[in-house]
Amino acid sequence: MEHKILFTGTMGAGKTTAIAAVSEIPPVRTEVRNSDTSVAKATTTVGLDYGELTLDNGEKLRLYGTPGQMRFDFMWRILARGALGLVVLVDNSRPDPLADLEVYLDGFAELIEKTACVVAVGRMETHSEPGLEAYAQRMQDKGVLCPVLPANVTDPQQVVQLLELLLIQLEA
Amino acid sequence: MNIAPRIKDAAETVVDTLMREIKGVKAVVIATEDGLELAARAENTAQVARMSAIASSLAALGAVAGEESGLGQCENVAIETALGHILMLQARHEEAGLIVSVVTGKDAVIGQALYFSKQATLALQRA
Amino acid sequence: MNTPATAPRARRPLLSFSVEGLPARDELLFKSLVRLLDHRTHQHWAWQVEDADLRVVGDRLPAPPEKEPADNPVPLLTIGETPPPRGPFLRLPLHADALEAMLNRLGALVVHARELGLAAASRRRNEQAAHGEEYRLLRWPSATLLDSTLRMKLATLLASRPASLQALQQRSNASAQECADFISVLERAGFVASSGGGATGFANSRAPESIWPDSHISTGNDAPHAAPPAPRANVEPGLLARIRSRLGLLSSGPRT
Repeated sequence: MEHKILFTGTMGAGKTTAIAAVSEIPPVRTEVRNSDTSVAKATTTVGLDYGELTLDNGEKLRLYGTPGQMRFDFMWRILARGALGLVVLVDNSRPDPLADLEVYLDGFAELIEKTACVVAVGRMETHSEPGLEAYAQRMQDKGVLCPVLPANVTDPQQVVQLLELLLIQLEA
Repeated sequence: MNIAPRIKDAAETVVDTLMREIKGVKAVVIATEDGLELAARAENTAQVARMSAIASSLAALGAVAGEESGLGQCENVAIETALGHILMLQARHEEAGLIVSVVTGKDAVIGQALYFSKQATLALQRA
Repeated sequence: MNTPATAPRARRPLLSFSVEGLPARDELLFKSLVRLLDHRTHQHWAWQVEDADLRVVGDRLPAPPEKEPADNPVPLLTIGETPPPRGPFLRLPLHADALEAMLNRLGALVVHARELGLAAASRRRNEQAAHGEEYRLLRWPSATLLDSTLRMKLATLLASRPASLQALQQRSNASAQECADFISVLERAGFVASSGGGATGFANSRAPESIWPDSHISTGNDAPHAAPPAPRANVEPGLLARIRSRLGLLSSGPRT
Protein backbone atom coordinates (compact mmCIF):
# COMPACT_ATOMS: atom_id res chain seq x y z
CA MET A 1 0.00 0.00 0.00
CA GLU A 2 1.46 3.27 -1.13
CA HIS A 3 1.82 5.91 1.54
CA LYS A 4 3.55 9.06 0.47
CA ILE A 5 3.89 12.71 1.30
CA LEU A 6 5.13 15.26 -1.20
CA PHE A 7 7.39 18.19 -0.66
CA THR A 8 7.45 20.92 -3.28
CA GLY A 9 8.67 24.47 -3.66
CA THR A 10 11.21 26.55 -5.56
CA MET A 11 14.87 25.74 -5.99
CA GLY A 12 16.60 26.34 -2.71
CA ALA A 13 13.43 26.35 -0.65
CA GLY A 14 14.60 23.29 1.23
CA LYS A 15 12.76 20.26 -0.13
CA THR A 16 15.79 18.02 -0.12
CA THR A 17 16.80 19.34 3.31
CA ALA A 18 13.36 18.77 4.79
CA ILE A 19 13.30 15.17 3.65
CA ALA A 20 16.82 14.57 4.86
CA ALA A 21 15.78 15.92 8.27
CA VAL A 22 13.30 13.11 8.90
CA SER A 23 14.20 10.29 6.54
CA GLU A 24 15.65 7.07 7.94
CA ILE A 25 17.80 6.62 4.88
CA PRO A 26 20.04 9.23 3.34
CA PRO A 27 17.76 10.70 0.70
CA VAL A 28 18.04 9.48 -2.87
CA ARG A 29 18.68 12.59 -4.89
CA THR A 30 18.54 13.42 -8.55
CA GLU A 31 20.49 16.64 -8.39
CA VAL A 32 22.40 17.95 -11.37
CA ARG A 33 24.31 21.08 -12.14
CA ASN A 34 22.14 24.16 -12.34
CA SER A 35 22.53 26.01 -15.64
CA ASP A 36 20.06 28.78 -14.75
CA THR A 37 22.19 31.79 -13.96
CA SER A 38 19.30 33.68 -12.39
CA VAL A 39 19.38 31.44 -9.34
CA ALA A 40 22.53 31.24 -7.26
CA LYS A 41 22.42 27.56 -6.55
CA ALA A 42 24.92 25.02 -7.78
CA THR A 43 22.58 22.10 -8.18
CA THR A 44 18.91 21.43 -8.76
CA THR A 45 16.59 18.46 -8.45
CA VAL A 46 15.39 17.19 -11.82
CA GLY A 47 13.72 13.93 -10.98
CA LEU A 48 12.77 13.54 -7.40
CA ASP A 49 14.17 13.33 -3.91
CA TYR A 50 13.27 10.25 -1.99
CA GLY A 51 13.33 9.47 1.69
CA GLU A 52 11.43 7.02 3.80
CA LEU A 53 10.23 6.13 7.25
CA THR A 54 9.32 2.63 8.33
CA LEU A 55 6.10 2.29 10.30
CA ASP A 56 5.64 -0.21 13.09
CA ASN A 57 3.82 -2.67 10.85
CA GLY A 58 6.64 -2.67 8.34
CA GLU A 59 4.94 -0.43 5.82
CA LYS A 60 6.84 2.53 4.48
CA LEU A 61 5.93 6.17 4.52
CA ARG A 62 7.65 7.56 1.45
CA LEU A 63 8.73 11.18 1.28
CA TYR A 64 9.13 12.61 -2.19
CA GLY A 65 10.59 15.94 -3.16
CA THR A 66 9.59 17.28 -6.55
CA PRO A 67 11.65 19.40 -8.87
CA GLY A 68 10.71 23.05 -8.35
CA GLN A 69 10.74 24.52 -11.83
CA MET A 70 7.54 24.62 -13.81
CA ARG A 71 9.08 22.81 -16.74
CA PHE A 72 8.99 19.69 -14.58
CA ASP A 73 5.28 19.88 -13.90
CA PHE A 74 4.82 16.46 -15.51
CA MET A 75 6.80 15.13 -12.53
CA TRP A 76 4.45 16.97 -10.22
CA ARG A 77 1.53 15.08 -11.71
CA ILE A 78 3.30 11.75 -11.56
CA LEU A 79 4.46 12.24 -7.99
CA ALA A 80 1.11 13.61 -6.80
CA ARG A 81 -0.75 10.43 -7.66
CA GLY A 82 -1.92 8.75 -4.48
CA ALA A 83 -0.10 11.16 -2.19
CA LEU A 84 -1.52 11.68 1.31
CA GLY A 85 -0.68 15.36 1.35
CA LEU A 86 1.62 18.14 0.27
CA VAL A 87 4.08 20.41 2.01
CA VAL A 88 4.80 23.59 0.04
CA LEU A 89 8.07 25.22 1.01
CA VAL A 90 8.44 28.90 0.18
CA ASP A 91 11.70 30.84 0.27
CA ASN A 92 10.90 34.32 1.57
CA SER A 93 14.24 35.66 0.35
CA ARG A 94 13.20 35.37 -3.29
CA PRO A 95 11.91 38.41 -5.22
CA ASP A 96 8.23 37.41 -5.27
CA PRO A 97 7.49 34.57 -2.87
CA LEU A 98 3.73 35.02 -3.14
CA ALA A 99 3.94 34.44 -6.89
CA ASP A 100 6.08 31.37 -6.20
CA LEU A 101 3.42 30.08 -3.84
CA GLU A 102 0.73 30.54 -6.48
CA VAL A 103 2.67 28.37 -8.91
CA TYR A 104 2.43 25.42 -6.52
CA LEU A 105 -1.11 26.11 -5.38
CA ASP A 106 -2.08 26.01 -9.06
CA GLY A 107 0.21 23.16 -10.03
CA PHE A 108 -1.05 20.90 -7.25
CA ALA A 109 -4.61 22.21 -7.07
CA GLU A 110 -6.25 18.84 -7.42
CA LEU A 111 -4.06 17.18 -4.81
CA ILE A 112 -4.61 20.05 -2.38
CA GLU A 113 -8.34 19.91 -2.79
CA LYS A 114 -8.53 16.14 -2.29
CA THR A 115 -6.05 15.79 0.53
CA ALA A 116 -4.19 18.19 2.78
CA CYS A 117 -1.59 20.89 2.46
CA VAL A 118 0.72 22.92 4.66
CA VAL A 119 2.59 26.03 3.53
CA ALA A 120 5.91 26.55 5.27
CA VAL A 121 7.70 29.84 4.76
CA GLY A 122 11.46 29.76 5.18
CA ARG A 123 14.01 32.49 5.84
CA MET A 124 11.47 34.77 7.51
CA GLU A 125 13.98 35.56 10.27
CA THR A 126 16.09 37.47 7.76
CA HIS A 127 13.33 38.36 5.29
CA SER A 128 10.17 39.30 7.13
CA GLU A 129 8.21 40.53 4.11
CA PRO A 130 5.86 39.37 2.78
CA GLY A 131 4.45 38.56 6.20
CA LEU A 132 2.14 35.72 7.15
CA GLU A 133 -0.89 38.02 6.79
CA ALA A 134 -0.05 38.47 3.12
CA TYR A 135 0.25 34.72 2.68
CA ALA A 136 -3.06 34.05 4.41
CA GLN A 137 -4.72 36.72 2.30
CA ARG A 138 -3.30 35.37 -0.97
CA MET A 139 -4.39 31.87 -0.08
CA GLN A 140 -7.86 33.11 0.73
CA ASP A 141 -7.97 34.85 -2.65
CA LYS A 142 -7.16 31.52 -4.24
CA GLY A 143 -9.70 29.63 -2.16
CA VAL A 144 -7.07 27.51 -0.45
CA LEU A 145 -7.52 26.93 3.25
CA CYS A 146 -4.57 25.38 5.00
CA PRO A 147 -2.01 26.25 7.66
CA VAL A 148 0.73 28.71 6.75
CA LEU A 149 3.58 29.23 9.15
CA PRO A 150 7.26 30.06 9.31
CA ALA A 151 9.59 27.06 9.37
CA ASN A 152 13.28 26.32 9.30
CA VAL A 153 13.51 22.92 7.66
CA THR A 154 17.06 22.29 8.81
CA ASP A 155 15.44 21.60 12.19
CA PRO A 156 13.92 18.10 12.26
CA GLN A 157 11.44 19.11 14.95
CA GLN A 158 9.99 21.78 12.72
CA VAL A 159 9.66 19.38 9.81
CA VAL A 160 7.85 16.95 12.11
CA GLN A 161 5.53 19.79 13.09
CA LEU A 162 4.69 20.38 9.44
CA LEU A 163 3.91 16.71 9.00
CA GLU A 164 1.74 16.77 12.10
CA LEU A 165 -0.33 19.62 10.68
CA LEU A 166 -0.90 17.46 7.61
CA LEU A 167 -1.95 14.52 9.77
CA ILE A 168 -4.40 16.66 11.74
CA GLN A 169 -6.14 17.64 8.53
CA LEU A 170 -6.26 14.06 7.33
CA GLU A 171 -7.64 12.85 10.62
CA ALA A 172 -10.47 15.39 10.66
CA MET B 1 21.94 29.80 -19.14
CA ASN B 2 25.63 29.51 -18.44
CA ILE B 3 26.60 27.37 -21.43
CA ALA B 4 29.55 28.58 -23.49
CA PRO B 5 28.77 29.64 -27.09
CA ARG B 6 31.11 27.06 -28.56
CA ILE B 7 29.18 24.31 -26.83
CA LYS B 8 25.93 25.71 -28.13
CA ASP B 9 27.40 25.81 -31.62
CA ALA B 10 28.54 22.23 -31.29
CA ALA B 11 25.02 21.30 -30.21
CA GLU B 12 23.51 22.94 -33.29
CA THR B 13 25.94 21.05 -35.48
CA VAL B 14 25.10 17.78 -33.81
CA VAL B 15 21.39 18.36 -34.31
CA ASP B 16 21.96 18.98 -38.02
CA THR B 17 24.09 15.87 -38.33
CA LEU B 18 21.70 13.55 -36.57
CA MET B 19 18.64 14.84 -38.42
CA ARG B 20 20.52 14.11 -41.63
CA GLU B 21 22.08 10.78 -40.82
CA ILE B 22 19.61 8.81 -38.74
CA LYS B 23 17.10 6.87 -40.77
CA GLY B 24 13.57 7.45 -39.60
CA VAL B 25 14.49 10.29 -37.26
CA LYS B 26 11.63 12.56 -36.22
CA ALA B 27 13.26 14.89 -33.71
CA VAL B 28 16.56 15.64 -32.05
CA VAL B 29 16.82 17.68 -28.88
CA ILE B 30 19.94 18.62 -26.97
CA ALA B 31 19.35 19.92 -23.48
CA THR B 32 21.22 20.76 -20.32
CA GLU B 33 21.05 18.12 -17.65
CA ASP B 34 18.68 20.37 -15.69
CA GLY B 35 16.16 20.36 -18.51
CA LEU B 36 16.74 23.53 -20.54
CA GLU B 37 16.80 23.23 -24.31
CA LEU B 38 20.05 24.07 -26.04
CA ALA B 39 19.31 23.10 -29.63
CA ALA B 40 16.48 21.19 -31.25
CA ARG B 41 14.83 20.28 -34.49
CA ALA B 42 11.65 18.36 -35.06
CA GLU B 43 9.12 17.44 -37.70
CA ASN B 44 6.54 18.89 -35.42
CA THR B 45 7.44 21.29 -32.62
CA ALA B 46 4.87 19.84 -30.26
CA GLN B 47 7.04 16.76 -30.04
CA VAL B 48 9.91 18.63 -28.49
CA ALA B 49 8.24 21.20 -26.28
CA ARG B 50 8.65 19.18 -23.12
CA MET B 51 11.40 16.87 -24.28
CA SER B 52 14.25 18.69 -22.55
CA ALA B 53 12.69 18.52 -19.13
CA ILE B 54 11.45 14.98 -19.57
CA ALA B 55 14.85 13.82 -20.77
CA SER B 56 16.44 15.47 -17.77
CA SER B 57 14.20 13.61 -15.35
CA LEU B 58 14.59 10.30 -17.15
CA ALA B 59 18.34 10.61 -17.35
CA ALA B 60 18.45 11.37 -13.64
CA LEU B 61 16.29 8.39 -12.84
CA GLY B 62 18.46 6.30 -15.13
CA ALA B 63 21.45 7.41 -13.10
CA VAL B 64 19.72 6.30 -9.90
CA ALA B 65 18.88 2.95 -11.47
CA GLY B 66 22.50 2.44 -12.49
CA GLU B 67 23.79 3.28 -9.03
CA GLU B 68 21.20 1.26 -7.15
CA SER B 69 21.91 -1.81 -9.27
CA GLY B 70 25.64 -1.38 -8.79
CA LEU B 71 26.21 -1.15 -12.51
CA GLY B 72 27.79 2.29 -12.58
CA GLN B 73 26.85 5.42 -14.40
CA CYS B 74 23.93 5.55 -16.79
CA GLU B 75 24.96 6.02 -20.42
CA ASN B 76 21.57 6.14 -22.03
CA VAL B 77 17.89 5.47 -21.55
CA ALA B 78 16.02 3.76 -24.37
CA ILE B 79 12.25 3.84 -24.61
CA GLU B 80 10.27 1.75 -27.03
CA THR B 81 6.81 3.04 -27.83
CA ALA B 82 4.00 1.82 -30.06
CA LEU B 83 5.07 4.05 -32.91
CA GLY B 84 8.81 4.36 -32.46
CA HIS B 85 11.74 4.87 -30.14
CA ILE B 86 13.18 7.54 -27.93
CA LEU B 87 16.86 7.46 -27.05
CA MET B 88 18.33 9.70 -24.39
CA LEU B 89 22.09 9.77 -24.11
CA GLN B 90 24.39 11.48 -21.67
CA ALA B 91 27.03 13.77 -23.15
CA ARG B 92 29.38 14.63 -20.31
CA HIS B 93 31.23 17.75 -21.25
CA GLU B 94 33.45 18.86 -18.38
CA GLU B 95 31.74 22.25 -18.22
CA ALA B 96 28.19 21.05 -18.55
CA GLY B 97 26.22 17.85 -18.54
CA LEU B 98 24.12 17.54 -21.67
CA ILE B 99 21.47 15.12 -22.78
CA VAL B 100 20.91 14.18 -26.40
CA SER B 101 17.39 12.95 -27.15
CA VAL B 102 16.56 11.28 -30.43
CA VAL B 103 13.00 10.43 -31.44
CA THR B 104 12.53 7.98 -34.29
CA GLY B 105 9.65 6.22 -35.98
CA LYS B 106 9.19 2.49 -36.15
CA ASP B 107 11.14 2.35 -39.42
CA ALA B 108 14.38 3.37 -37.73
CA VAL B 109 17.16 0.91 -37.17
CA ILE B 110 17.98 1.20 -33.52
CA GLY B 111 21.58 0.10 -33.88
CA GLN B 112 22.18 2.76 -36.48
CA ALA B 113 20.46 5.44 -34.44
CA LEU B 114 22.47 4.47 -31.38
CA TYR B 115 25.75 4.50 -33.31
CA PHE B 116 25.28 7.99 -34.69
CA SER B 117 23.93 9.28 -31.40
CA LYS B 118 26.99 8.00 -29.54
CA GLN B 119 29.29 9.64 -32.11
CA ALA B 120 27.37 12.83 -31.48
CA THR B 121 27.87 12.66 -27.74
CA LEU B 122 31.60 12.22 -28.23
CA ALA B 123 31.65 15.29 -30.47
CA LEU B 124 29.80 17.27 -27.83
CA GLN B 125 32.09 16.10 -25.07
CA ARG B 126 35.07 17.41 -27.04
CA ALA B 127 33.55 20.81 -27.79
CA MET C 1 -2.52 52.57 39.78
CA ASN C 2 -0.33 50.31 37.69
CA THR C 3 -1.02 47.08 39.50
CA PRO C 4 0.72 44.24 37.71
CA ALA C 5 -1.56 41.89 35.78
CA THR C 6 -2.31 39.13 38.21
CA ALA C 7 -4.23 36.86 35.87
CA PRO C 8 -2.05 34.19 34.28
CA ARG C 9 -1.22 35.19 30.73
CA ALA C 10 -3.34 32.52 29.15
CA ARG C 11 -6.45 33.82 30.90
CA ARG C 12 -6.09 37.52 30.16
CA PRO C 13 -8.83 38.80 27.92
CA LEU C 14 -7.81 38.84 24.28
CA LEU C 15 -8.66 42.17 22.71
CA SER C 16 -8.03 43.55 19.27
CA PHE C 17 -7.06 46.93 17.88
CA SER C 18 -7.00 48.35 14.40
CA VAL C 19 -4.98 51.27 13.08
CA GLU C 20 -6.06 53.84 10.51
CA GLY C 21 -4.74 57.12 9.31
CA LEU C 22 -1.33 56.91 10.91
CA PRO C 23 1.86 57.30 8.90
CA ALA C 24 3.48 53.90 8.34
CA ARG C 25 6.35 54.63 10.67
CA ASP C 26 4.06 55.63 13.55
CA GLU C 27 1.82 52.64 12.93
CA LEU C 28 4.79 50.32 13.10
CA LEU C 29 6.02 52.01 16.25
CA PHE C 30 2.61 51.78 17.88
CA LYS C 31 2.30 48.07 17.12
CA SER C 32 5.82 47.42 18.38
CA LEU C 33 5.15 49.25 21.63
CA VAL C 34 1.95 47.32 22.20
CA ARG C 35 3.87 44.08 21.72
CA LEU C 36 6.61 45.22 24.07
CA LEU C 37 4.09 46.21 26.72
CA ASP C 38 2.28 42.89 26.45
CA HIS C 39 3.90 41.57 29.61
CA ARG C 40 2.47 44.51 31.58
CA THR C 41 -0.95 45.23 30.13
CA HIS C 42 -4.00 43.77 31.82
CA GLN C 43 -5.34 42.49 28.52
CA HIS C 44 -3.60 40.93 25.57
CA TRP C 45 -3.86 43.16 22.50
CA ALA C 46 -3.62 41.86 18.97
CA TRP C 47 -3.73 43.85 15.75
CA GLN C 48 -6.31 43.13 13.09
CA VAL C 49 -7.35 44.90 9.94
CA GLU C 50 -10.81 46.06 10.96
CA ASP C 51 -13.80 45.47 13.26
CA ALA C 52 -11.51 45.55 16.26
CA ASP C 53 -12.39 46.21 19.89
CA LEU C 54 -10.39 49.43 19.79
CA ARG C 55 -9.79 51.76 16.85
CA VAL C 56 -6.53 53.66 16.89
CA VAL C 57 -6.63 56.62 14.54
CA GLY C 58 -4.39 59.45 13.46
CA ASP C 59 -5.42 62.99 14.23
CA ARG C 60 -5.96 63.78 10.54
CA LEU C 61 -8.99 61.51 10.27
CA PRO C 62 -12.30 63.31 10.26
CA ALA C 63 -14.30 63.06 13.51
CA PRO C 64 -16.58 60.03 13.59
CA PRO C 65 -20.13 60.66 12.41
CA GLU C 66 -22.63 61.59 15.08
CA LYS C 67 -24.86 58.73 14.14
CA GLU C 68 -22.41 56.34 15.87
CA PRO C 69 -24.90 54.34 17.92
CA ALA C 70 -24.47 55.01 21.61
CA ASP C 71 -25.19 51.46 22.53
CA ASN C 72 -22.39 50.07 20.38
CA PRO C 73 -19.43 52.34 20.97
CA VAL C 74 -16.09 51.16 19.73
CA PRO C 75 -13.52 53.15 21.67
CA LEU C 76 -11.49 55.46 19.48
CA LEU C 77 -7.98 56.35 20.52
CA THR C 78 -6.46 59.27 18.67
CA ILE C 79 -2.70 59.50 18.26
CA GLY C 80 -0.97 62.58 16.98
CA GLU C 81 -0.22 66.25 17.61
CA THR C 82 -3.74 67.61 17.98
CA PRO C 83 -6.24 66.26 20.47
CA PRO C 84 -9.73 65.67 19.08
CA PRO C 85 -12.71 67.57 20.58
CA ARG C 86 -13.38 64.56 22.81
CA GLY C 87 -12.18 61.07 23.40
CA PRO C 88 -8.92 59.43 24.45
CA PHE C 89 -5.76 60.94 23.00
CA LEU C 90 -2.06 60.24 23.15
CA ARG C 91 0.46 62.76 22.00
CA LEU C 92 3.40 61.80 19.78
CA PRO C 93 6.09 60.80 20.51
CA LEU C 94 4.50 57.91 22.37
CA HIS C 95 5.63 57.15 25.88
CA ALA C 96 5.44 53.55 27.03
CA ASP C 97 3.97 54.36 30.45
CA ALA C 98 1.26 56.57 28.99
CA LEU C 99 0.39 53.97 26.38
CA GLU C 100 0.26 51.21 28.98
CA ALA C 101 -2.08 53.21 31.20
CA MET C 102 -4.30 54.09 28.25
CA LEU C 103 -4.48 50.50 27.02
CA ASN C 104 -5.39 49.27 30.49
CA ARG C 105 -8.08 51.93 30.85
CA LEU C 106 -9.62 51.32 27.43
CA GLY C 107 -9.20 47.58 27.83
CA ALA C 108 -11.20 47.66 31.03
CA LEU C 109 -13.97 49.57 29.23
CA VAL C 110 -14.09 46.99 26.46
CA VAL C 111 -14.09 44.06 28.86
CA HIS C 112 -16.88 45.64 30.90
CA ALA C 113 -18.96 46.25 27.80
CA ARG C 114 -18.31 42.69 26.79
CA GLU C 115 -19.44 41.35 30.12
CA LEU C 116 -22.71 43.18 29.66
CA GLY C 117 -23.04 41.60 26.26
CA LEU C 118 -21.60 38.33 27.47
CA ALA C 119 -24.84 36.96 28.80
CA ALA C 120 -26.46 37.54 25.42
CA ALA C 121 -23.51 36.10 23.51
CA SER C 122 -23.21 33.04 25.67
CA ARG C 123 -26.94 32.40 25.38
CA ARG C 124 -26.57 32.62 21.65
CA ARG C 125 -23.58 30.31 21.65
CA ASN C 126 -25.34 27.79 23.85
CA GLU C 127 -28.21 27.78 21.41
CA GLN C 128 -25.82 27.34 18.54
CA ALA C 129 -24.04 24.53 20.31
CA ALA C 130 -27.32 22.83 21.03
CA HIS C 131 -28.17 22.97 17.34
CA GLY C 132 -24.76 21.55 16.43
CA GLU C 133 -23.89 24.88 14.88
CA GLU C 134 -20.86 24.40 12.70
CA TYR C 135 -18.11 26.92 12.20
CA ARG C 136 -16.09 27.26 9.07
CA LEU C 137 -12.79 28.98 8.68
CA LEU C 138 -12.77 31.76 6.10
CA ARG C 139 -9.04 32.15 5.93
CA TRP C 140 -6.02 31.10 7.93
CA PRO C 141 -6.03 33.26 11.07
CA SER C 142 -3.43 35.91 11.89
CA ALA C 143 -0.39 34.52 13.62
CA THR C 144 -1.09 36.62 16.74
CA LEU C 145 -4.27 34.63 17.35
CA LEU C 146 -2.41 31.34 17.11
CA ASP C 147 -0.52 31.93 20.29
CA SER C 148 -0.45 28.33 21.45
CA THR C 149 0.15 24.92 19.93
CA LEU C 150 -3.41 24.05 20.84
CA ARG C 151 -4.83 26.99 18.90
CA MET C 152 -2.68 26.11 15.92
CA LYS C 153 -4.15 22.61 16.03
CA LEU C 154 -7.72 23.86 16.41
CA ALA C 155 -7.25 26.18 13.45
CA THR C 156 -5.83 23.30 11.42
CA LEU C 157 -8.84 21.14 12.27
CA LEU C 158 -11.15 23.93 11.14
CA ALA C 159 -9.13 24.40 7.98
CA SER C 160 -9.81 20.87 6.88
CA ARG C 161 -13.56 21.01 7.36
CA PRO C 162 -16.26 22.95 9.19
CA ALA C 163 -16.81 21.70 12.70
CA SER C 164 -19.12 22.20 15.63
CA LEU C 165 -17.76 22.97 19.09
CA GLN C 166 -18.33 19.37 20.10
CA ALA C 167 -16.51 18.06 17.06
CA LEU C 168 -13.55 20.33 17.72
CA GLN C 169 -13.38 19.15 21.27
CA GLN C 170 -13.58 15.50 20.28
CA ARG C 171 -10.84 15.77 17.69
CA SER C 172 -8.39 17.70 19.81
CA ASN C 173 -7.10 17.77 23.35
CA ALA C 174 -8.96 20.98 24.05
CA SER C 175 -11.61 21.58 26.68
CA ALA C 176 -15.04 22.87 25.73
CA GLN C 177 -14.11 26.27 27.12
CA GLU C 178 -10.88 26.46 25.15
CA CYS C 179 -12.75 25.62 21.95
CA ALA C 180 -15.48 28.16 22.65
CA ASP C 181 -12.97 30.88 23.52
CA PHE C 182 -10.99 30.27 20.37
CA ILE C 183 -14.10 30.33 18.19
CA SER C 184 -15.13 33.62 19.83
CA VAL C 185 -11.76 35.12 19.12
CA LEU C 186 -11.87 33.96 15.51
CA GLU C 187 -15.39 35.24 15.04
CA ARG C 188 -14.54 38.66 16.40
CA ALA C 189 -11.58 38.86 14.09
CA GLY C 190 -13.69 37.81 11.15
CA PHE C 191 -11.84 34.61 10.39
CA VAL C 192 -14.68 32.24 11.02
CA ALA C 193 -18.37 32.19 10.22
CA SER C 194 -21.03 29.88 11.46
CA SER C 195 -22.78 27.76 8.92
CA GLY C 196 -26.24 26.36 9.47
CA GLY C 197 -26.49 23.34 11.75
CA GLY C 198 -25.17 20.34 9.91
CA ALA C 199 -22.72 20.14 7.05
CA THR C 200 -24.91 21.19 4.20
CA GLY C 201 -26.13 24.74 4.75
CA PHE C 202 -23.83 27.71 4.56
CA ALA C 203 -26.19 30.46 5.73
CA ASN C 204 -24.30 32.84 7.97
CA SER C 205 -25.66 33.31 11.45
CA ARG C 206 -28.06 36.20 11.82
CA ALA C 207 -27.17 37.35 15.30
CA PRO C 208 -26.52 41.11 15.31
CA GLU C 209 -23.09 40.89 16.90
CA SER C 210 -21.77 38.64 14.18
CA ILE C 211 -19.42 39.97 11.62
CA TRP C 212 -19.94 39.52 7.91
CA PRO C 213 -16.38 38.84 6.87
CA ASP C 214 -17.21 37.89 3.33
CA SER C 215 -18.33 41.38 2.53
CA HIS C 216 -15.18 42.94 3.96
CA ILE C 217 -12.44 40.54 3.19
CA SER C 218 -13.34 38.72 0.05
CA THR C 219 -12.55 40.25 -3.30
CA GLY C 220 -16.16 39.82 -4.28
CA ASN C 221 -15.59 36.44 -5.79
CA ASP C 222 -17.33 34.03 -3.48
CA ALA C 223 -16.77 31.01 -5.67
CA PRO C 224 -13.91 29.47 -3.66
CA HIS C 225 -16.01 29.54 -0.50
CA ALA C 226 -19.41 28.74 -1.94
CA ALA C 227 -18.85 25.11 -2.85
CA PRO C 228 -19.19 22.59 -0.04
CA PRO C 229 -15.90 20.92 0.86
CA ALA C 230 -15.05 18.08 -1.50
CA PRO C 231 -15.25 14.69 0.19
CA ARG C 232 -11.78 13.90 1.43
CA ALA C 233 -10.06 10.91 -0.09
CA ASN C 234 -10.41 8.07 2.39
CA VAL C 235 -7.37 7.38 4.47
CA GLU C 236 -6.98 4.11 6.29
CA PRO C 237 -7.42 5.23 9.92
CA GLY C 238 -4.73 3.06 11.43
CA LEU C 239 -2.18 4.51 9.02
CA LEU C 240 -2.33 8.00 10.45
CA ALA C 241 -1.91 6.68 13.96
CA ARG C 242 1.12 4.67 12.86
CA ILE C 243 2.65 7.70 11.18
CA ARG C 244 2.09 9.72 14.33
CA SER C 245 3.75 7.09 16.41
CA ARG C 246 6.71 6.82 14.05
CA LEU C 247 7.23 10.58 14.13
CA GLY C 248 7.12 10.53 17.91
CA LEU C 249 3.94 12.58 18.07
CA LEU C 250 1.35 12.16 20.78
CA SER C 251 -1.93 10.88 19.51
CA SER C 252 -4.66 13.44 18.98
CA GLY C 253 -8.11 13.00 20.44
CA PRO C 254 -9.84 13.92 23.67
CA ARG C 255 -8.21 13.74 27.04
CA THR C 256 -9.30 10.46 28.60
